Amino acid sequence: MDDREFEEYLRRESQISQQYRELQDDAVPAHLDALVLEQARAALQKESAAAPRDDLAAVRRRRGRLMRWAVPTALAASALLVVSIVIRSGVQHETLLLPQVRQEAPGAAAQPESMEDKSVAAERAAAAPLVVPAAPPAAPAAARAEMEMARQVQQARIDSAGMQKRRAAAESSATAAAPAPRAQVDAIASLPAVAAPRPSVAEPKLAAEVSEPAPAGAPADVALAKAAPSPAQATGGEELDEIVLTGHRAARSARGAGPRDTVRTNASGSTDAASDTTEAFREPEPWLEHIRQLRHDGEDRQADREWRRFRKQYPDYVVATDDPARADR
Amino acid sequence: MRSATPEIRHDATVQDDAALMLRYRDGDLRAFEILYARYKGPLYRYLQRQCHDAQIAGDLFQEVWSKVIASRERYEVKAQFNTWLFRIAHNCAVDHFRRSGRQHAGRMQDVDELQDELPGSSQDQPDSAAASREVHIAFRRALEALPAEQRDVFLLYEETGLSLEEIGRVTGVAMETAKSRLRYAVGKLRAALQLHAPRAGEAGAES
Repeated sequence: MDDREFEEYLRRESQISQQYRELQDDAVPAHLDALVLEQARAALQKESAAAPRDDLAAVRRRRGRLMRWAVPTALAASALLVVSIVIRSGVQHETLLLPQVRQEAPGAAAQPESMEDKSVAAERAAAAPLVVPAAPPAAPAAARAEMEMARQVQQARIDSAGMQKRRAAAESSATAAAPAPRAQVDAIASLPAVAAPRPSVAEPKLAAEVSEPAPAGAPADVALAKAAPSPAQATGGEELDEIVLTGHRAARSARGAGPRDTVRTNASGSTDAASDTTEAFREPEPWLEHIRQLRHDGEDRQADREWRRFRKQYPDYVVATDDPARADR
Repeated sequence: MRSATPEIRHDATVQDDAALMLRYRDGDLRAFEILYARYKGPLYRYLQRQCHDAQIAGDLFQEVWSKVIASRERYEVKAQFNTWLFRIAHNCAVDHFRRSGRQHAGRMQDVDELQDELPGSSQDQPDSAAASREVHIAFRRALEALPAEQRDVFLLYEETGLSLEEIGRVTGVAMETAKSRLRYAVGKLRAALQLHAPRAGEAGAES
């Protein structure tokens, strides 16, 4: 076969191609057509049916990706929870320690328990005849520090000038003069009124209970408090001080851990004893005689204390230099 | 009898083939039906004349289309659809030959051996129709007697209208190799025709 004949074949002009096309045509059997077309149709239906499975698989893949974050997220949440608990327990510990700090600090003896339950405070307010409202119970630590600082400044101011005003006011009142320890307690009790605002609900209570007549059998201090002019009047409105005189709180007051807005005294306590002395000795000479008797009985500390009170009450009263009542004899 | 021009070789058709296949990939069954109608004949003849067995050709035919259907999601318009289709068919045929233990070289039967199998001389074939049928039978036997590689290239050239370069890609050989195989195949078939054509011509002249 030469090139010319092959080129003729490649141009499809050869007898070979004509012979091939004249071969008996082999048609595709009908059953093959049906099989193939059915297979093509089934493939499409299978694909459409598989689409939801693909969606399900996609959901599972997404869930798997999320599950990869489950452990870190759980760890982070646990760490956050632990830190929160530690911080909260630290705050509570600090709060629990606060009364002890107050007890140790002289100026903080009357500071209230900041985390004290409101219900307990309300109960106390209801039980107390006269209440100076407390600071907000859940004051933050920073606020408490500021309050502490302000209270110390107030304490210093009270020590220098305020106490003098009180004493002068007490002296000028119709009632017997309050002894010095009492004035000191008053000054401490007045601190919260400066450091924290008074709740409005406590003010009517205060006014009502001040105006109430003294109950029968009440301690002498109550009568004294009622007979005395109001603290605002006594201090020219500069300081607000109150004393709560309740018998059932005497134990807490004796421990020195009572709320700062309530200073409680007891007739059996030393403060009440001083009040008793002041009440009993309205004249200087019987008082001096009482002091002499104390010295005679060997109670020099008590005698010295009474002498100091006497001197504060009667600074110009002439007492002989060799009088046994004198502490500096 | 089919037309003189190749059945599926048209540029527009080639572009349509790819579009139809993409449509079928996207779920259009009608596109596949068009594609199937276009290629089922050439593919079936190619397979049947390769295997000489209608049953095997049918199995291979179904296998080829199954692969086309299964791989529709991976189909990309990188080559002509018929090139891709007949490459699948070629591979299926080769695999079949390997499975059946038959040498891919096929029956290396010389065209001259067909002379004994041909019908009798023109004296036994009184009319030209018989002479023509004799030529057809001789041609078919000569085609079957071709080596498989040569027959493969010849069938691809005749059925698909692919160029020699494309046939080389389908069969996995160089274009020159495909051309050489085709040249040998055509030469043998021509020799078979020349062997019987004078007899047919004589029979036609006598009648």
